[in-house]
Amino acid sequence: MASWLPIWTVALLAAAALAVPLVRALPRLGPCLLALVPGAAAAWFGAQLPHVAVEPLAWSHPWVPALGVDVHLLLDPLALAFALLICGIGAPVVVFAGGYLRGKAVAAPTVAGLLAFAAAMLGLVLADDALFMFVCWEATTIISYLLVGLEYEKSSARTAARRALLITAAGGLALLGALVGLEVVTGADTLSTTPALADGAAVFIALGVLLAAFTKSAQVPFHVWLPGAMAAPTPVSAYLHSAAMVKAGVYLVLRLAPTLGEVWLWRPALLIVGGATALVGGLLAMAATDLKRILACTTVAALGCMLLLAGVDHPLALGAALGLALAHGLYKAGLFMVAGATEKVAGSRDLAQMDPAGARMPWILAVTAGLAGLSMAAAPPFFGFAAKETALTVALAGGGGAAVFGALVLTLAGAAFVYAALAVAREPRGASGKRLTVMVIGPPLLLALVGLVAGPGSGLLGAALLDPVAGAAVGLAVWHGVGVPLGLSLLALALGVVGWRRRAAVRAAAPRIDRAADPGWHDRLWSHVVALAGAVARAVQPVALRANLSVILLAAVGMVTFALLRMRPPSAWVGSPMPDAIDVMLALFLLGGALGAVRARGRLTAIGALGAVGIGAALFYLRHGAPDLAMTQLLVEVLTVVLLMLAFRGLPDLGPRRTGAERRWSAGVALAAGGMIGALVYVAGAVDLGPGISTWFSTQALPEGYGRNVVNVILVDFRALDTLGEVVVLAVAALGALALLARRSEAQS
Amino acid sequence: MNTVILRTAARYLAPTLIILSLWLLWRGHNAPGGGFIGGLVAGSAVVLHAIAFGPVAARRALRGSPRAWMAIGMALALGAALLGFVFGETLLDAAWVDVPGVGPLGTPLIFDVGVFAVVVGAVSGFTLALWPEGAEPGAEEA
Repeated sequence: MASWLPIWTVALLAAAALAVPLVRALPRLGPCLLALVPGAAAAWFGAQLPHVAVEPLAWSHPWVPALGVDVHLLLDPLALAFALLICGIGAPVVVFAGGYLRGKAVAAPTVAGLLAFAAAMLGLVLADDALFMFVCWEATTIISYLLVGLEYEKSSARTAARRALLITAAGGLALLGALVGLEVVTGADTLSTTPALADGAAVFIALGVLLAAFTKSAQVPFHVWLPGAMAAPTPVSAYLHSAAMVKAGVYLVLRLAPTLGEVWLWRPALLIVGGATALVGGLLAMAATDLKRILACTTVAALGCMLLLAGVDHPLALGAALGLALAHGLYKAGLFMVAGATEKVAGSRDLAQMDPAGARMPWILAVTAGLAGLSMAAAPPFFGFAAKETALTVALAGGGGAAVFGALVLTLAGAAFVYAALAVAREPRGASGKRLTVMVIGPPLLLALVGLVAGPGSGLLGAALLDPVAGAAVGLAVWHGVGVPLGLSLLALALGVVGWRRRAAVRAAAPRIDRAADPGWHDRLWSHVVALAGAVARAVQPVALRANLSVILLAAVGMVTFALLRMRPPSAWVGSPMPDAIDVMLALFLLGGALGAVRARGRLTAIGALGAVGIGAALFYLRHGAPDLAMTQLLVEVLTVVLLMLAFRGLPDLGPRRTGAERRWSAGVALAAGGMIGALVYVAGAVDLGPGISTWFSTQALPEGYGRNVVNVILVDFRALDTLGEVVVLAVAALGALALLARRSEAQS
Repeated sequence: MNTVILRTAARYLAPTLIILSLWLLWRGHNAPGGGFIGGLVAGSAVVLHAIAFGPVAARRALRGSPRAWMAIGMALALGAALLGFVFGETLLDAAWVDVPGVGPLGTPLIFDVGVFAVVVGAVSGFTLALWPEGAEPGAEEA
């Protein structure tokens, strides 16, 4: 069975590749067919439930054998829980995306992006080696950037996408540092065999991992990207901001907790940052009136609760955090879809723009919103309630101040969830009579019903998934008996209802809450970075071409001179062959061309004179045994002259001569650059570098490469990878130039 | 440049250059030449055609857009590279077949044809994009 592990990631990628043509051709059937891929994956992962707890599935394959790098995949209970979440929610979201975006241009790319994201995320949770995990981690960052920025005509979408990218990519760098450190310190091949660390470098590793988790899972103060990412199409939020992307940080913490849990930094950081995030997210959610913003902020709060729990010093804490993650994914994906459906029906998703006296939502939407909302509000017997009760029990069992803090945070966040659930499910008004299609309302209804069924069934689910992760019975169940957790649940319920009744007062304070919770540090930092980049660019890339070239050439001269001065005198100076009469004549020809270019008054004369220099160089190559180089140089020279003439023919003649000082400066720069090249040529020709690889090339060209032209054999066979890269660079440069020049001609016409 | 001499010369020179470019491409593996040089020569032929008959005629002579040339070239080069997985062990592994009377033919030749097409597309793309507006034959001043 283990050989099936990589297949699902590949299948999701293949589905993503097929998605654009398929969804364009079959707007309704296409997404449903594509959803079969994550659906089948979810079914397969579900079927592994019974035996993975006993015996994890492992699979590995050589990746870069020359460097000893293998891909290791491992399906243990933790990976299985997240795989179920990713695929099980991915399938309905894909269907919803097809229905919700039908007829819009972004429909096909959205579906493709969602499937690609599912592939990356699945790779991330299945990866058992640090390198593959990191690659998948970065892939989720980049795909999320593309998905958030799908409607790139809107500046809000571009800003939000860039903000999400910069924050999560910064976390990715921290993760890279941490994973490299982990590899260096432990030398372990796979994450599952990494021993527990406690001190020394482990502090820095833990810091890097925590930074990565906090940025990806939108923890204070990095939470600012998530509410902004609501600029994404609703299906993207329903997936990335409920079950997938934002859970990656939680997964990372759960995955590495056995390794880094004993580092002194680990638990306090998770407790404090998670707790602060839960409170900030809850406050922001209560102040918001846009349905998607409410949901995004409750996501921030819920992620804070999960990390807080992961920081509790209790054997069952990880299992409880995982329970919250599952419950949250189930209800939040459904609620995002409900918000999208509400927007379709009511014409807006902002509660402040809805007429309180307007018509109610269609009953099926109200029921779906109610079911998913009750799970978010942690009302019995929903799955959300079971997870919340377990979380409270574990938090209280942690003991000491952490228990009080944890219980307080969970209760207050719970109150915010109740408030948000009421706002999303009860407030929307103004139904326009638009009908909802099955593809729009079916997926959230399905998820809401699963949340209802999973509540009473949570004992089984907990035993299969949570208990193996915790290594003990977490005791996920709907009924924990009468006790402090139940009391706190009821308190949260009461607080949430009372708060919602007084929502006018809460929302009146919204501007102050928003300012306090998001002081705009990221935008200020961004503007400083842009200003700094501008200053650097003005310093080293002045607009005047002369100054710009001076900087480039003098930098090159400086570096080469430094390197030449540091070079140890070689053991053998071969000495350059003496130039013969023809060489001298060619050199004079080149000098003449250069002088002509310098003294020319007209641009075309200067270009022509430069062309003569190039042709002289080509003749040099020809005389010294490099016919291929000579031909290339000659042709490039001719074409360059033509292109320069085309580009410059509209411009006036060169202006009046420069002043003496300017001319002396230019002459100095030119002579320095020329002298540098001359010195390099002399050193390269005069130093015996040994036989090196050129002998091998010339002896192997015919027997190995079936060619007598060594240069060409190197270009298209021995070093063809370089050529491939150069061809790509050439094509990309040409495409860029074509795009810029096309804009120029549009502006002219 | 609207001169009879240039136009008459270009009518014969441009096809000659194309044949020359193909010959350079073909013989490149054993003698000076190759896809890059051949592509530059063919690109020069397009430029010559444009100078003599104007950019519209050059675009027509090119058959496809410069972008299409580049895309096809990239596809050929990448396809030849990927064939390495089929016939060899890894990317860009060369495979050769000895064709009687012709000599050895291999995936590097396909690769070189791809380089040729990309260079033709890039050169003609630059030239035609830089061509001044309204510079059809006859409208040219000097």
